[in-house]
Amino acid sequence: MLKCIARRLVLMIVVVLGVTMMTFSIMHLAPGDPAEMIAIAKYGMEDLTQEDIERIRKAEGLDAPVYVQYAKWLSHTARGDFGRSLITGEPVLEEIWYRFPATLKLALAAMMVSLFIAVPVGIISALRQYSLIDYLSMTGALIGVCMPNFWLGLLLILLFSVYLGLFPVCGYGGLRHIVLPALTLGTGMAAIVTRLTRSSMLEVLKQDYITTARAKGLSEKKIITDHALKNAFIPVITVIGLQFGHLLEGTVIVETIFAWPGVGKLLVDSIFARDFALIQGCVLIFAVIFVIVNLLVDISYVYLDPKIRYEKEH
Amino acid sequence: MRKVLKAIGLICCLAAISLAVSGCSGKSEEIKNELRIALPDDVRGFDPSTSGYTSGIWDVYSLLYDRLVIEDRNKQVVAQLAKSWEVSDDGLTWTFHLREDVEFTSGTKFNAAAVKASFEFLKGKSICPVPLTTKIKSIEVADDYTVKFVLNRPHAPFLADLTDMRYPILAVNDGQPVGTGPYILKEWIKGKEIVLVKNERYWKGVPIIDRIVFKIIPDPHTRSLALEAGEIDLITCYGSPNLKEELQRLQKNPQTVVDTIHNWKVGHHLVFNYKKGPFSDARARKAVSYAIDAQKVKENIVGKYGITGVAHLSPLSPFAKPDIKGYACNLEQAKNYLSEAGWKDSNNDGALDKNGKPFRVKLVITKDDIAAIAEMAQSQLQKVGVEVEIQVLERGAQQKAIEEGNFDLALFTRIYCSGADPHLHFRQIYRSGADERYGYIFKNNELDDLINKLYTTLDNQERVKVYQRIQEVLLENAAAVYLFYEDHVTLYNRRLKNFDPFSGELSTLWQAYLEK
Repeated sequence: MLKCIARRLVLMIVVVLGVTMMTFSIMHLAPGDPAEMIAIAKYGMEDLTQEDIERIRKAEGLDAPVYVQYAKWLSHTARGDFGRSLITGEPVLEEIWYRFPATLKLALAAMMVSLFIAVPVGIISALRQYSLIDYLSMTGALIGVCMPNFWLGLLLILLFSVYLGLFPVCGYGGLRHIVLPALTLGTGMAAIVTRLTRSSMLEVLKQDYITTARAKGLSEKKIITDHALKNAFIPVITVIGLQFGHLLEGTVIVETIFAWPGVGKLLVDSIFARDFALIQGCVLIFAVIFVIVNLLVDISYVYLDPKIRYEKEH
Repeated sequence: MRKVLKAIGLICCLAAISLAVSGCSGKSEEIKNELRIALPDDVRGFDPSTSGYTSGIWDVYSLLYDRLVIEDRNKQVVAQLAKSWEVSDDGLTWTFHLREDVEFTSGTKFNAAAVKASFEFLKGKSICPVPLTTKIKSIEVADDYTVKFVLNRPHAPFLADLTDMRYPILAVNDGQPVGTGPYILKEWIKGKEIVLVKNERYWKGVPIIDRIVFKIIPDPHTRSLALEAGEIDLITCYGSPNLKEELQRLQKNPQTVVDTIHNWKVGHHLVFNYKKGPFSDARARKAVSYAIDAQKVKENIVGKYGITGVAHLSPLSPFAKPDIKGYACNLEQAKNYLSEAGWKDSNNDGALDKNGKPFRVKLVITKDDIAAIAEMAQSQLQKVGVEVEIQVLERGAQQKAIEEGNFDLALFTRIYCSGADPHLHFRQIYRSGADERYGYIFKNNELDDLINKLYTTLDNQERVKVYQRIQEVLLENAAAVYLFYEDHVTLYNRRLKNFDPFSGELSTLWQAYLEK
């Protein structure tokens, strides 16, 4: 087990490296002159001259070949120096650290919202297949998957804040502030997880071991909780891990709508301004989180399914 | 299984507790005399020499800092920290007589030496010095309250440029810039809000509202919903992709005041690539100018919240030509010009062609633009047989496409003209020369001469004539199609009284008050 985790950790470094390399090259391949975009973000475009742009290119080292720039970034990062934002001049790590708790809070809250809705609804739908509850929840899930975040967010604000006055329209603060953004962000994931829980539950209920359990006279409750649920959870946990990445991605839109001061908004702004140092920093953090969450998911399999034993295979 | 469920349950509980705890600390007592303003973008700092432009930043600056002169609601340059001024005949020396009753919020006296120090501060720090400072050769302190700016060469719009928010008068206190404005910076919570408190020493009088909080809300729809829910009191420079509908809705709300001011600068327009492709022929450009119904575009996009475009500058600009002749929509004229230019519908499919090639052009817009404007232009041009392909690009990509001539038509919407004189806009886009970046947008010798004259012509009457001629030249050569000038919209809660909003200026807030 430990050996396996160590191996995975090495692989993780490779993945994260690959992601940062991809981002770096894509950002440089994107049309537009980075020096010009930085100059515009920094000084406005009205009286920008070519001279100013060239000066910025030189000062920020943008005149070097891309691989040299990447190597430079990598060597600095390896030593723990994430550099400074090309636009604000603030240390990248500080900028991200400052906003990171907000994003994490939002993603966790959204995850909680979706799990609290999705898992029970999915199980009930499976147990009462083709009943009214099943149809209602599956229709709900379909709508949940289809609704774009920005639209749902505005609808929720209109209903709960403007008409009912229950929650604040936007802003960062206490528990009341997080409800609407978490609902907005969590709905999409809830829809996917509901459908998955249901289908995976149905699949498991058809298995021979469930028939065996029934045949040996176990109570239905025991069959569901001890035998079915545990096995049905493996694909669900996998998807939750993968969906966590989508949650982080979703924060980009949700943070903008709800004026939530997180990393998502920071990342979008830095992409438009071609703030390479900040983009790389954000992407690195997102990649690390994503990889760690997936590692945790893999480890959790061992506890869910005794058939999965990592060290025996290798 | 139970263990796993328990663990999940425990994690959820912990997360819930941590959220709840963090929620408690956020509570604050209700403060009555406080005005909350929506800010679209967080600022990058409060030092104008390095903070650059972010949306809404001038609102913040206009409360913290004063300038020597400002532009008032009647588009005139009027005194602020300067009492009066004069310029030498050669246009090189500008002398300002300063107010004697002003103090910085740090307690230091405002005088001629402070003005000099302030401009030196603005000049000193960044790798791209604030533009106007490079034109100043020296600043002389003639006496305590008289300061002289000596320029390298005549720069006629110098006074108008000083109204630009990038040239405030500051003093440096503990490394932080401080101003003489009606409010003082108290707290900046990045990404969330900026808190200002009133300046008891303000030279015009003590402001009535105690605190002003700028709340950072990036989404335009959320901003208007927050206003409706009473969470904010004021939105300046309101813009939205569906402005017309939103404003119609907001105007029905009895709590909201919708204040609009017609734009007096440059509006939304389409520019041609005059060097490459079908629009290198002036007749094709004229045809398109006649084919587009600007009136209809305006009605559809902004309704009554704008003026139909005719020339480059809005008819309300002090530099407009009142009787200027533009291209009123006329499909017959458009067709005549097209056939003159050799475009015929030879295969009767409704689309024009020449030498077997169809009249197909590319219109580049950015994702921030109102796509509906481009779509209307597309359908209007289809009526005369011109096929338009709309290409939505990211800002950097559009900039590159325009600079490299990789377009036929481009939509220019977010044009910000700082200061009271729009010379920068013309110089940057329509003057040819070594530093030009817009080589594919119309240029000619007469235009170059006229734009150069803007820098040497001090007399205002003469300047107006130069500007009028520039606009005529642009129209004669059909350099662009003028669509409309969008109003500046300010939305605020009816509780806010004695407030006179005008674009980019909140300094009048010092005498406003909130009704109980």
